[in-house]
Amino acid sequence: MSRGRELVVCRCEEVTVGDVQDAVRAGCRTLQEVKMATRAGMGPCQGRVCRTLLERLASLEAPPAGAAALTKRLPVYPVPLGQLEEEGQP
Amino acid sequence: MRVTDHPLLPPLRRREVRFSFEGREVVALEGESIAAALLASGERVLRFHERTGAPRGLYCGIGHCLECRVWVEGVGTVRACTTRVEDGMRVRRAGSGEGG
Repeated sequence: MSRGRELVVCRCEEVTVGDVQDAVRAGCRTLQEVKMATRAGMGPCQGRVCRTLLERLASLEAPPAGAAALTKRLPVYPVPLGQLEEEGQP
Repeated sequence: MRVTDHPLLPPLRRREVRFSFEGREVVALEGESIAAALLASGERVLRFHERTGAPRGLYCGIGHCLECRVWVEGVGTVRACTTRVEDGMRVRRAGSGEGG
């Protein structure tokens, strides 16, 4: 896994493959630890885009504990009350 | 650029609306998303990454990834791909304006 270190895994926090590899080499043994060290998956999309990539990458880098799943986030977004009000009008 | 004569869809005939992006006037068609209108006008950079300053634009296009955040005056930060453009709307890159 020396190629593609510059590939962006998590766009929200701009975390690359290299960042994840470095975190694993620095001692991270679970995906949760990688997340805490790099902020991968902690941006506005809450892992919607990068979760599967991260899980795959972590399982390659640090088997087998690396595949431990991250906390699942509900697919919800903050919505201004004014917007709900407008949509409720006939 | 817009696909105005699609082989399957009816011809695109919609009222024009005008809004501004970073102070520049943009002509859009009613009902378009902010992202679609900006892309059609040639604007691909919707914001810059907060830490690295790398340019960001439309990515997933379905409201998932939040890459296309822009700042709308009087509203706040919205997803450009899921927010319809309105006449007179003042839009800036997320993070560039007050409250962005």
